[in-house]
Amino acid sequence: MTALRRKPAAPGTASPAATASAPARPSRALEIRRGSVTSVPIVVGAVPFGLLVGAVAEQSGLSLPETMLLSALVNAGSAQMVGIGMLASGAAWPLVVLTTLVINARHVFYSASLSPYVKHLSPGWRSALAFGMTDAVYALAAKRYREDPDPRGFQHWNVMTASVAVYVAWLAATLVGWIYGKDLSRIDGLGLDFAIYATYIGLVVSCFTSVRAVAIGLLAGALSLALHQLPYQSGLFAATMAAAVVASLWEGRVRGRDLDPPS
Amino acid sequence: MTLVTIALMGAVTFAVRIAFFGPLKPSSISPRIEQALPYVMPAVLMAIIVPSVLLAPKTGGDGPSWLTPYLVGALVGFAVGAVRRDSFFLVFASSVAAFALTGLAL
Repeated sequence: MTALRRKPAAPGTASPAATASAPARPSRALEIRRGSVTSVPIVVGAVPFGLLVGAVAEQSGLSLPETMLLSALVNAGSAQMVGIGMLASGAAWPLVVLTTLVINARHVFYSASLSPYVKHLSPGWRSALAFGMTDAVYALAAKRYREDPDPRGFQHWNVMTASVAVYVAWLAATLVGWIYGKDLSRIDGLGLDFAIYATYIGLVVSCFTSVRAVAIGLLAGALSLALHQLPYQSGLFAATMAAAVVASLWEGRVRGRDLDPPS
Repeated sequence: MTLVTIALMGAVTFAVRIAFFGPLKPSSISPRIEQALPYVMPAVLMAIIVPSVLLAPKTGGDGPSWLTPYLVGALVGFAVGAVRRDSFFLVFASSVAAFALTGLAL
């Protein structure tokens, strides 16, 4: 992103071809610096959402320890939002847990798509990266590994820096949101939640690298809109699944013969 | 009881996030799934954005009821993104600015 363009002096940052030569690898310190720069917009996007989650939790009658534990352990905005509503309304616990699973099921795709890049890391690293892999952190990670897939690099420090920054901001925003819950309960009406959608728009346009990607995105959006009345945001999951199936079939047709040899 | 439920919510979330980072072998990803992966991100993000923006609360002003700050902000963001795809800050800032200005105007 901006940081990359401002540092043309550092070789090996852009093309995968350049990463083939070992000395060109960006240092650990550089990856950490880059991670902290690229995490700024997603932190900015996460703060209003965190405030909202904290405020809604307070208004729904959740205690401060419960609210903080939710942000600390689940670390997923939309699942927490739905979960708070269900906990507050006294829904049966298996239903709450199952709903969380459905809402967060999309993360299994993130884990699958990043697995080739992290398989050489220690179990501790992989666990820590997985724990912090929110939607926005995944988008940053996917972008970084797309630029530089070299397993000898320090890209995981970049991702970890962004992940920690977002996590700290998320906890702080949840805390502030809970404390000022009454004042912030009008935050929804002010439309501060738009910051999160602006973040997603900024991230999604960078994924639109082909006509197919745009078409799949529009299909998912249309399906999600059509299915939005399904309970507990399962429409989001169903729309993503359906779009992913179409994408797979489409990609298979385009690649054609590439799939013929037994894998 | 609520605390146990919250802990379980955290556990299932972590389980899906780590699924292919160790417990499941990446080689067990079938080609069918593998070729869909590049499209997951645009699909998920658009599935979140489109309903949120189109079903945003209507404004009480004199403009047409479908013309919300959410819609204007999103359209401006996509328009800027169409020209400068990799300028995250620019897309983000222009989208938020358009949202705020429309909110003031309506």
